[in-house]
Amino acid sequence: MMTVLELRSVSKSYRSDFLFRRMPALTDVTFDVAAGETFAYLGHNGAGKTTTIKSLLGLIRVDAGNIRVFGHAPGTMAAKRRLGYLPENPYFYDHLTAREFLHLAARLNDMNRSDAKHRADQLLALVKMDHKANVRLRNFSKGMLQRVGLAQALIGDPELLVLDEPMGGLDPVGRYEVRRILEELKSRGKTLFMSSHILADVETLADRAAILNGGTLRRLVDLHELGHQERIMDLKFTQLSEAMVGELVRRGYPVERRAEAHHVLVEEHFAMAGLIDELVRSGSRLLRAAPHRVSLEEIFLREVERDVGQTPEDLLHRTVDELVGATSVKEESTP
Amino acid sequence: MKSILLATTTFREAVRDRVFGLVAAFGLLLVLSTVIISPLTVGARGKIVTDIGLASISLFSLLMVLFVGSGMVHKEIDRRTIMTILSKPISRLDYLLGKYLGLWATLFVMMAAMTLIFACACALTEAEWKPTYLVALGMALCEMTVVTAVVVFFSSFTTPVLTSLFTLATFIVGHAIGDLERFAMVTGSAGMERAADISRFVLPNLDLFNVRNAVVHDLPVHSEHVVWAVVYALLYSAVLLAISDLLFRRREFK
Repeated sequence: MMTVLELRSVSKSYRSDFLFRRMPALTDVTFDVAAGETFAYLGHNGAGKTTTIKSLLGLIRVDAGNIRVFGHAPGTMAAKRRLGYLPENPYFYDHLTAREFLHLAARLNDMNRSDAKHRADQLLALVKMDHKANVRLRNFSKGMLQRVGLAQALIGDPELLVLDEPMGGLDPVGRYEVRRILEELKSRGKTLFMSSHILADVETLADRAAILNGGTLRRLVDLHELGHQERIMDLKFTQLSEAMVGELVRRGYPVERRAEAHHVLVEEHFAMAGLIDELVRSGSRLLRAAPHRVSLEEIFLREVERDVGQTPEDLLHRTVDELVGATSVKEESTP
Repeated sequence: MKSILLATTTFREAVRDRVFGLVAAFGLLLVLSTVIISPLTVGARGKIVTDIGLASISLFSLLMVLFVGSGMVHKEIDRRTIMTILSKPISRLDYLLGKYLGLWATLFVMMAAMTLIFACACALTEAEWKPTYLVALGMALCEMTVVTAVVVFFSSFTTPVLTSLFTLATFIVGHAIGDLERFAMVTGSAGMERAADISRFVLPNLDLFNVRNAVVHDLPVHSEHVVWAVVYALLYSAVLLAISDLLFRRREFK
């Protein structure tokens, strides 16, 4: 399959102060995006997502490494003709109307007047902003600007869409509509490269995700194989004594109480049989032992928090808490 | 072609942002000057109106170029609009030219409107409207063509405040180059002569465009001077825009 985006050992740093010290924004980032793929680019604020996107567009120059967009250097006309870009929190010309702005975008994409007019109207309808076509952009809310931003990114019917937080500023209905448009684009074979904080949307849309932390690529996740990558077993017990719960927590097992049962999460090859045997002997009843499906959120949290000095046990507790949204027994039972 | 698209947008934005409020301010100033200052003059009311009118057109044009031009590029960088525009198949030179031409078009329409008000003021007072005023105003337009290029040049690599300050400084020194040369000649100082030479080579000689006094006092303005001034304005602006492009191409949008 053709490679649309290619990043090889890309590094970028910014001058941080008057002493000319440089702060790394990207360090040795390497990945490819294939044609027709939906690729999510994840990371917390300041992780280097927008820096990567700007590098792809030729808006900044990288210090080291190589970037190719459809085989061309970023920022060249050949590359720009084949991509559409939606910036994060977009602001456009205040005094232009939505229709005028999209018309400008279409004309900049080499369309003639009549095609530009037709395409602008078509996209205003697609993003459900046709009723505001003649309203100046200064009167638009954040969500409305986001829709116009998506429309301008689509104006040239690009093969590659680079979307920086496409769901940002949208209400639930707006999010649903944008997701629907992106799904439609995906089904038409467009390549989508999107950064997002909304992991649920990413999980629904993306084929692969890259997790970035501190400017370093931590992990590439194949979202079709999610759940099979992390082997954690969820053991469901009843009649687990409080003393035993305390003992499990002391040993570092995440334990959670749901209704009348306790759930203990155990790494598959971590003496699971021995633990089950021990708990059954102590009077507990094992109701179920099932694989625990790991979400993208859990992987993301694990990767981005690796640097903040937490132990794997802390992380496991944390991710379980985040996932289930319940109070850990550990916290309740620890004096 | 794409620079024309952006020029139209820049012009439209400026007009809808009520930049022509400056034209209204100009009209008000002209009316007030005839009402307040004219009674203080003895038999020279017409000349006062002419002097104030022509000088004000230059002043208000300069203010417009400074206010609109200095923040023009920076605002788009700050709000990331420039990233959307430059992600389209458009070169940075086209972008910069679009900004320049849009600002110039705004300037042209504004000067035309002020000229109309000035002609009306002449008709309503004792001031005589002379066709040579159009030569003075044309020269003022040439001067502002250069100043617009200076604004675009500074805004291609620095902040709005510094752009305004540097442009204003260039405007002031550009008008003092003749004085600097005369001063160097009188003092005979080699250092002063060198400073005058460098200034003449690097900075725009804006005094070249000032024919207001000659026009108001019916002194001749030679056609060779006018042609040279027009050529100078076009060449200086073109060179400055070419340097701006070199700087702007290297600029990173963080």
